[in-house]
Amino acid sequence: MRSYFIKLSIVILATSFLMVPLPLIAEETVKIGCLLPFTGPLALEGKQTWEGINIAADMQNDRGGIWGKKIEFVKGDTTTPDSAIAEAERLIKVDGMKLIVGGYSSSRTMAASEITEKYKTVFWITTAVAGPITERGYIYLYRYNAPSGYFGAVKAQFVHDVIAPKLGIKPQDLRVAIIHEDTLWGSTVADVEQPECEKLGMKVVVKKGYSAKAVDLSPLIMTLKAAKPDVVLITGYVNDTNLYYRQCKEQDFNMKAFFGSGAVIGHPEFLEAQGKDANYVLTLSHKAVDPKRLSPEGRAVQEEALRRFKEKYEVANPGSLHLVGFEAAWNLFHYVLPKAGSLDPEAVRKAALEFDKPYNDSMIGIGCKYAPPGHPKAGQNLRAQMFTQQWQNEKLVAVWPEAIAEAEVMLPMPTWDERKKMR
Amino acid sequence: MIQTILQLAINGILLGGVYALISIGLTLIFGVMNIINFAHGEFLMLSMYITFWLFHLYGVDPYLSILLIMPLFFLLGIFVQRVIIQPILNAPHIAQIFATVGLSIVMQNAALLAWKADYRSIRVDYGISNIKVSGLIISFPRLVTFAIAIAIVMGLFIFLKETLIGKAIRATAQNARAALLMGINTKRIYYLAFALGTVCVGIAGGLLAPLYPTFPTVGSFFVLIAFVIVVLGGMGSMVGAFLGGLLIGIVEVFSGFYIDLALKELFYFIVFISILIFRPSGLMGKRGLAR
Repeated sequence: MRSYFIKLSIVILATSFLMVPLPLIAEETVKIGCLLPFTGPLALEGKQTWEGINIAADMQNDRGGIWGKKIEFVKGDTTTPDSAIAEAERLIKVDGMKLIVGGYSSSRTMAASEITEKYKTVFWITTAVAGPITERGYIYLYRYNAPSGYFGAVKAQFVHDVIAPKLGIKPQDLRVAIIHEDTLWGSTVADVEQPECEKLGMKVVVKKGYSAKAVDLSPLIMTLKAAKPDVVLITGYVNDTNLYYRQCKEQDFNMKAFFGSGAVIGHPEFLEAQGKDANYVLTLSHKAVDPKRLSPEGRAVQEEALRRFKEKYEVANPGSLHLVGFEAAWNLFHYVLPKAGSLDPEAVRKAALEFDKPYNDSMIGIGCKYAPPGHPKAGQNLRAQMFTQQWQNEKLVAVWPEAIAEAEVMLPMPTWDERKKMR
Repeated sequence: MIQTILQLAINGILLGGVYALISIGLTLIFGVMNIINFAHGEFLMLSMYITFWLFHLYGVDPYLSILLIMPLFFLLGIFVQRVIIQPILNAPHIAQIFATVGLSIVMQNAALLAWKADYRSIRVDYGISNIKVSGLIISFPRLVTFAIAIAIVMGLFIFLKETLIGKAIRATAQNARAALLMGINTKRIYYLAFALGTVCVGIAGGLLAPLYPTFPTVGSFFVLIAFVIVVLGGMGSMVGAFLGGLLIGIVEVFSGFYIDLALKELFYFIVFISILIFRPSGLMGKRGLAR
């Protein structure tokens, strides 16, 4: 009995030691919440966004921080959409956060934004695509990247204006297949791609969703084989897109053009997983724009940020998520918060709505102006746009719009047999 | 039309082989020790990571690294059995669940801490190669996986049926107390069974590595299906797990093509429930095995 009580008291003492927060260094900091999927199936994407946000914080801290104080993050882990809700609540009610940056994953961001709006906390969204996020008239959230409506419309336009002529097929004769992962991200983009393609006169022969957690996509590929599309449009996450593409090779399914949405295909992971097979694949996302097209300020920021990515995280070619995470956070830390003067949500909102950045000050060539309350897309960065890029010779190059294009689009994609001969 | 059906059948059977391979270890452990190892998916993940690191750092071919993984996982199985499973063998079910779920969480997050969340792919030429036979496509790595799954099932079947130790394992599975009274060292049998089950999943990881990328939560992609197959095939039956795996693979591929890929879980759960209604102990299970 005595030994039991001794063990029990040791356990209680040990755990209470862990629970007593160690006194922080007396220096005052600006505490900002950060809500991202740090663990779970989207941990990789969460990490990349986090790295971008961190570089921005480092750059601002080295410039004296915000209002003379260093930025400090309080993390919330959105492993699943349910935990997104719980973590948002915790950050606001327990940790007292008045400002949260992050997002990533439309389903998680959507869920968390219900909480942030309820408690009138500013949610500074770096990346989350689903259109509905900024269609609810919420006034405390600010989304930096382009919404799904944009993706769908621009992809369809690109297929019509660039892919069809390159393939030598008239748009009315072009067969388009749309595949997507089945949560908010994939579905919202695909739901716009289809009507936009049809509006431009193209035939959508397949529109199918699949689970991002699928272990085998061969039934999907067989369905596509039967439908004989010329172009396949995909909206997925890293793992499933890689699986799909590998299984296309395995099942000998050839596509004349393969066009992805967002960060996935542009990421180094795609190149690592596919090697030379990555060549000719198209994606609509972001990249560090040619410095010649930027203003002096834009050039300076780009040069410093790229250097820091390499030094701190050994990332020589930051991907889309790194870049957008950085840009959105940089806008907040360098321009909006200093103007706001405090973390008071009303002051931050006012500064955010007044913020007006031209595209050439941004290292990824994207301006920033948020839609005010009352606008149908309140909270959306109206200047958000994306560029089509293509893997050529194992490098990602911008091919559209012409204003920032670095190379010509190379189409049609060689067949798998042709690729084998090219090795 | 025939071509399509044949191709689907091939894809389904090969996919089923992958599923079956993962389930074999689980069903062996459950059959003998009545323990559901919720960390089974994480052992798979660990094996895939080891295969990846051997390939990445030393250039060891994934299929060859299986030879290294087998003894390693045998020892791992004995270690886990001693440290985690043995103490809870006679504990209430809830304690058993907590222990293995806890192990699963620890392993997932340790992997996340050690190796980050990045997706690690092994690119070997045969990883995406295929064999073309009169217009039908057979994926080479999946064929190898299937062949090895059959080999393991047959090997284990013969081992359990013919060898003395195998008979001792079966005896322990049937009635541990009686086996003890007959002079069988049931404690050693438990070590062996758990170690064998772990070796099976280790082999599965090595075979899967060329097919799928590795990341800390990869186990969760496979583990639910593995549980379904274990129950479907009859808990404790190796052949049942194999047949169950094939069935699930075929159902998934056919329903994915003819109906909707997004509903695949619906269909194999329908099949699962239907079979359990008519044969509650699974395809090959014995009545009254679950306590």
